[in-house]
Amino acid sequence: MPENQNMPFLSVKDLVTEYKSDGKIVHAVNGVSLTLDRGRTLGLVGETGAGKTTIAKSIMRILPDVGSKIVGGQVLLDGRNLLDLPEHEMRKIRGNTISMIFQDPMTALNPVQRVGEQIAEVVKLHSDPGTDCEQRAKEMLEVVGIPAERYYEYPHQFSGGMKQRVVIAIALACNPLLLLADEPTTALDVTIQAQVMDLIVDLQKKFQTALLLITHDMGVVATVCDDVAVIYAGHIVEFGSKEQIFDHPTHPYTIGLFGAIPDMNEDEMWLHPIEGLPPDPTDLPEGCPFHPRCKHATDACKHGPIAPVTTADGHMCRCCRLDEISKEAN
Amino acid sequence: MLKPVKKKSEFARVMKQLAKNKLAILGLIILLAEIILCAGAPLFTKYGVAEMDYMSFMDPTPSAEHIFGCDSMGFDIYTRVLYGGRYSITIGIAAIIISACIGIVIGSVAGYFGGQVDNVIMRLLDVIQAIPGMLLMIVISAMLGPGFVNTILALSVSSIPGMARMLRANMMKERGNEYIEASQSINCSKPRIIFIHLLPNCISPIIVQATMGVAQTITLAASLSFIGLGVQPPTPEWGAMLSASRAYIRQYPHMVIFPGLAIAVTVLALNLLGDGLRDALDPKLKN
Repeated sequence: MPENQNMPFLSVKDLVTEYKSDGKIVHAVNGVSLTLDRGRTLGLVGETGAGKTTIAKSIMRILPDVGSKIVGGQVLLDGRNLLDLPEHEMRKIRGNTISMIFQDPMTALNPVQRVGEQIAEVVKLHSDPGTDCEQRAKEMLEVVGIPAERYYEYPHQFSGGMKQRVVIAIALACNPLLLLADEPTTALDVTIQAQVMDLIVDLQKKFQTALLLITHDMGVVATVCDDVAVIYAGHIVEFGSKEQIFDHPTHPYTIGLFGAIPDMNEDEMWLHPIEGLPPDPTDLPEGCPFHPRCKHATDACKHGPIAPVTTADGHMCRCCRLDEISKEAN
Repeated sequence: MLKPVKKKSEFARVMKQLAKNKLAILGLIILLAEIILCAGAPLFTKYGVAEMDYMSFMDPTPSAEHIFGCDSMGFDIYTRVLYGGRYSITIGIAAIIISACIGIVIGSVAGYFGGQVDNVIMRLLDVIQAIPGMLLMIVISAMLGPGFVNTILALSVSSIPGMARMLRANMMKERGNEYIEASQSINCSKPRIIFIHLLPNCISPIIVQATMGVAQTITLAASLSFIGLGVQPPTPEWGAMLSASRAYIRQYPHMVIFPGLAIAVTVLALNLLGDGLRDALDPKLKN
């Protein structure tokens, strides 16, 4: 495939992933498209169960063998479609070119293996024989701020924040070009969150890594991301630069998300949640998946796929009542 | 510049951990002593294994000449306990090692892959378990013919399903953990995930099961000898000695007590060691 200079580093096109559960089909990801360049950070924001993690796992092709399937779409990394690659080609990429930071550091490390060995393992699996994996693992420990002497300790001897650093060290040990961070700070307390995010961002700057950051923390998105994709029920409902999304949210769901953040300067009695619950992914509503909860919904929202509307500067929104809503806002 | 860090070997760590458990060390010492006594049997007794003392027919009870007494054939029981240990302990340990190895492989595959693979394997194991253990052993021994190696095979087949089932259950529990997903994401192959990442997390109940299993196997081997399918006389074996002497249990209980004691002490030692080993192998219980 010819090298295309204009082609984004990672480009996901119309990705559809399904799970099977009790004979029902769970529509976890329904036609997601996104692009990401090296050195840039894309935030995937959305509720629990919106399909954020499934997108990341589909990119890496580590969905469970039984009961899940990538139904359609493309994942282009440097022009190569990862979904078409045979498994042995994919294995060269997994952990090496693409790596993943997991959500829960408490369970993401093998409890009976020394932490250093777990870092050394990924190096060993991806380097030529004869490489000093142990040395590299110790370097990585130092990079994430853990003394190399702790190479021989077990995960239970580490605190939560340190475990997450080890997870990050594993993810970065092979200098990946694409890093998928699945809620890397959710399980940590606030001060450690800040340290861990700083660490990820520093390392990203150093290695020019493309970072796909999955989170539901708007604060983290505001500090770290360049672009933001808002996911709802397996669809990207809004995509744009951080400034576009934060300053001019256009999709009713995004507006609702920002409305739910309490304002520190006002004396508010009640929080403002989005009414209702996310739809059952085995039985998604026809038309816009958000329409049952949307106060702007009309009959037009209930039929057929909703076409994305993209403004000149790349701000995409998937809503058919965009004009009315923006008029109302002004 | 990185400071050099001293590597502590895994074996040293386990031994150090084991050394803290006094009972486990006791078990280990008893077991080692037994193995030395049995392996070097000729050094520790002046009688031959099939040497009859005709004088003992008058009074087979323990005496200075025969410290454990003599049996109905006039054989020295102490000598036969030593020689018998060679067979009993070897049968017990070998049968369990074979069944644990096969059970681990079968259980890992069933537990990791789940679904149809699991279904097929488990139904096959159900078939084996549906046959009463004793009957299965009798059938296998009868088919292969009596003898030392065949006894080991017969005994190991019947304990495979238990091992496999236990490991499968543990595998299924551990498989859902995120570190398994993480190991996939760094490109571990399936065998590597199963045997390097999952197995060490699932193995501790198997170790306990195996040490208890050795004890059970020694007694089962005795039952096989009893019906004439196990180790053949005049080869001494603890179980066979027990069953041969059962007719004299009222008049001369020592004929049963000493081989029985040998079995009991071995079983106890193995259980103590097995418990200690399980704790020592688990890094979470450190300190």
